[in-house]
Amino acid sequence: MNSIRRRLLAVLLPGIAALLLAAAAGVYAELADEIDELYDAQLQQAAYALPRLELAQPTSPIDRDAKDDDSPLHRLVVEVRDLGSDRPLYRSRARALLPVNPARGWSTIAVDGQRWRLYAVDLGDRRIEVAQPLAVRREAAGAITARLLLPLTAALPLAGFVLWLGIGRGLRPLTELSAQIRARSPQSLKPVALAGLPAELRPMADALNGLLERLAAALTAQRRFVADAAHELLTPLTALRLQQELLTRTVQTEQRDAAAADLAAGIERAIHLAQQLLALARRAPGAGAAPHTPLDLAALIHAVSRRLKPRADARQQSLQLELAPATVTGDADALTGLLENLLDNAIKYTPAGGTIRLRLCLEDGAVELTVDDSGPGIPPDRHARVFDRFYRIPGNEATGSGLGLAIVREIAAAHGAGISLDSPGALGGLTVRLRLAQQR
Amino acid sequence: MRLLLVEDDAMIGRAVTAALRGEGYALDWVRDGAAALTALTCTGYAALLLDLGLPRRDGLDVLREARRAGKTLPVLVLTARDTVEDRVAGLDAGADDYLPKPFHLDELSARVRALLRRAGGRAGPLLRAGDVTLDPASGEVRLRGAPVALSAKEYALLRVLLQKPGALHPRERLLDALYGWGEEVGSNTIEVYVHGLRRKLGADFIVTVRGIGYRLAAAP
Repeated sequence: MNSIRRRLLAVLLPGIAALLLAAAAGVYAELADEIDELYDAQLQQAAYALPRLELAQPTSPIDRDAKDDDSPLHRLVVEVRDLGSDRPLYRSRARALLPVNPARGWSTIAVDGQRWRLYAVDLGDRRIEVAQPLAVRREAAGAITARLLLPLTAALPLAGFVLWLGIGRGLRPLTELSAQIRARSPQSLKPVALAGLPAELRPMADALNGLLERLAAALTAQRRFVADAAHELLTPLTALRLQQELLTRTVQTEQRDAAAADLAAGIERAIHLAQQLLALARRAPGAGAAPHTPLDLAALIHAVSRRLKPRADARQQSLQLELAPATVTGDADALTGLLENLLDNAIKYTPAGGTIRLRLCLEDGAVELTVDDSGPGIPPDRHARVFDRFYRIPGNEATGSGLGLAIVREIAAAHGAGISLDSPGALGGLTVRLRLAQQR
Repeated sequence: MRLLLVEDDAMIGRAVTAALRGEGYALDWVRDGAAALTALTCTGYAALLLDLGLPRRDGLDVLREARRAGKTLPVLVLTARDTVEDRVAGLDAGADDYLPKPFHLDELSARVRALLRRAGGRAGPLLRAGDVTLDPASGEVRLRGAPVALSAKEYALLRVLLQKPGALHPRERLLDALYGWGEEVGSNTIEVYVHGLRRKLGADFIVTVRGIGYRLAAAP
């Protein structure tokens, strides 16, 4: 399991153990020095005590070899010789272990493959040597260190437990924050309370609040859109119901035909609105756009204008195309939707017999698409608002969805294209200009 | 009965106009708030059907303005804004009734009839004078219980007269009430319809007030 508590313990416990070991090594080194001094003093004392002793059996030493034990005292070896003849006067062991004529004072010698500390001194007519294996001293230092270390090592699990508790306590604000977040209703997008939060949690809480804020804004926009959409759908649906009821009331054939035509137009209108809403939902940011591929924009325009030409013809409008070959990168479906909306608007708002012109040219490495019409145009003070969803220009005769230019804007934005309006434009009506990056 | 419809949506406007004209009302249709205020100033309407989401002048603004100008005509608000707050705001601004979209034509005409009934100071649905009764809901006219067949304009004229049975109806006012904008009006049309009504409902049913207009002989 990946847990902060475990991670901390995994670092802290070995750290503490290593610290203990280092401390032990320090203690051991210090002890070894002290013990050396202490034991040297012992050796020296023993050496100086010897001349005053009357050696009863100078050549028959106390044989302790057989029951040699590990106590430091018993591993002390003493040899006394006559200074002139080097004749042994006394040996604490049966066997002679120490050199006959060593250097006087302190030295370290090898005995039976072990290192010994030796003190030699001439006192009166005797040469006195007192020696002891160095291992005795190391063992003493080791034993003391071990004694010291043992309780500390035993305390290590306790330290682990205390750390466990302490870390848990330190992490409590995190638990409280999670509880605070868990306890909210799914609808609540209020920021989490920052008061009392430790500094380590602030960045996370801040990031969370930022996310919540963006989420709330997106949700509000979404709700408003759904409400607007429902409201907008009510109008054509009301018209449909009225037209249908009128149809059932009307008995005269002529009026029935007119009512039936109105009803058909009403159905078309409701379908168109639903389609536009769908198109807008698909183009909405975050809807997961299709991949952009290189496209022949002129071919796309040809296809769209072929499809919409019958409608322009029905209104005796002249549809002119002036298309330079241009390749852009984009989503073919989306750009087709954009072109359809622009052309559809032009056909709808240009009076019968008017002119619509689609132009495509290359300018400063960008592709510029221009849609000109000879319609009434849009007053400049409305230019900013016509791209808003459901905005319709007051007094507008045509029953549009109010979404066409909003869709155009979304698609343009998804393609990084700039869009601008000009009114009156080149043909006296509206000019829509779209600048797209050219595919190289 | 001349009504003013203020509705910006062409399809809804056309359908409501056709339906109410079909019921014998004269109806004028305007598409924005400013035009609505002008129409209200110039013509006496029996009722106002007002959409709230209007260009140029918000529907509630139109309503407040009309009430401020002393217009007491009944007002039916038609709107897709139908939260409680919206309805309260509409009624408080001076609306008499509230009909949320999408509504039915039948309900619309019923509410218009109810408004006109209230405005005429009546609680019952039938319009009555002497032996003559008119049922605005079914469009039936009866003389002493027997159905009488009237032409559309005769019916419309009788309904106007029965709306205020004891009152004197000036000829101009009757013309106004019977014809919406753009309807052909002959110079002696009212006389023609009065003649028709007298023939079907009794010669002394309508009294001519020379030089001014007409009134009903019988008290309600």
